[in-house]
Amino acid sequence: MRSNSRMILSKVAALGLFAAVALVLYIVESLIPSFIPIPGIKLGLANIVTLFLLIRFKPWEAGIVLLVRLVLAAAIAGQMISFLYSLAGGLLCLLSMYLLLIFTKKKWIPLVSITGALFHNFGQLCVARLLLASEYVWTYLPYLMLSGAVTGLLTGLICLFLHKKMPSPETIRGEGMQDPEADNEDAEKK
Amino acid sequence: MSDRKKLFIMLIPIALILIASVLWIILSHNGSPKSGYRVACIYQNGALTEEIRMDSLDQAIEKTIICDQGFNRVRIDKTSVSVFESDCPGKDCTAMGTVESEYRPISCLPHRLVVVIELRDSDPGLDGVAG
Repeated sequence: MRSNSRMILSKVAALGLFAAVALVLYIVESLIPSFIPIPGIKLGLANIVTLFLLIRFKPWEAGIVLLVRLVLAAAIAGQMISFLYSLAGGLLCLLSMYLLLIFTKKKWIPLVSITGALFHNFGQLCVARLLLASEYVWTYLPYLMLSGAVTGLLTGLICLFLHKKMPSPETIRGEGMQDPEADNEDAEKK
Repeated sequence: MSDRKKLFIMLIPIALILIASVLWIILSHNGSPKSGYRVACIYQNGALTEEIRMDSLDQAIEKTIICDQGFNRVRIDKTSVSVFESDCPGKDCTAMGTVESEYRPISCLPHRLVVVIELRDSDPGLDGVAG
């Protein structure tokens, strides 16, 4: 019982840590000036965390970390409008990557990441179209697709590297962690 | 389904999207010059609020567009448009610099503003403000 609650706590702590990492990546990314002057073109470093969690954790856990990161990022930036863009892009990206990971049985991670980035940019553009009420935003689509392919490949390769180098899922999820108090009780019984 | 088939199913749509994007960018930058005259159009919340015929401008003009969320300052001359000042948080509109192409609108998402060069076929003799 105690071991189970400790496991849940470990998982919550791990997810909190991933949310913090995603938020830091978002802040670092916002400090890097954009070399292409098109709205919406970003590196998408925080997507590394989303994809990694989709591979190693449950999809709803990846979704929670994504939402926490988006809410905190909007609070830090003080832009409600950017939250709407990020939410649409982030959820579309999460859903597409989740379905593709099932389809590919977690193979070709860089390709899954590229597809996620394309859907992310498309989702953002759809919200921009609704808010601006202008068809002109679609002229950004080719630039966003090309940049999404490049940044998606980059984040996908980083995620693939982490997936190969990081410890097993059980260790990260806290399932492999020992409960010292439970161990002491067992020792006393013996 | 084999892995190879799955790989093709994933690769083909991505490749098509990227090829179409590259073609669109190349064609929009290298298209043959069209006849007509160019108008700088300013849209707010999707509605055309101002249009200025560019070839009639002897010198650059500056306009301040004010909305509930803040302001944008737009510069228009004979060949180009730019948003050179804004109090929006992201400053994407000012980062877009000077635009001479009809295929690259300047948009300010927080202020719901679009500044774009449009090509008009006929010459109705208009040289003023609409909307």
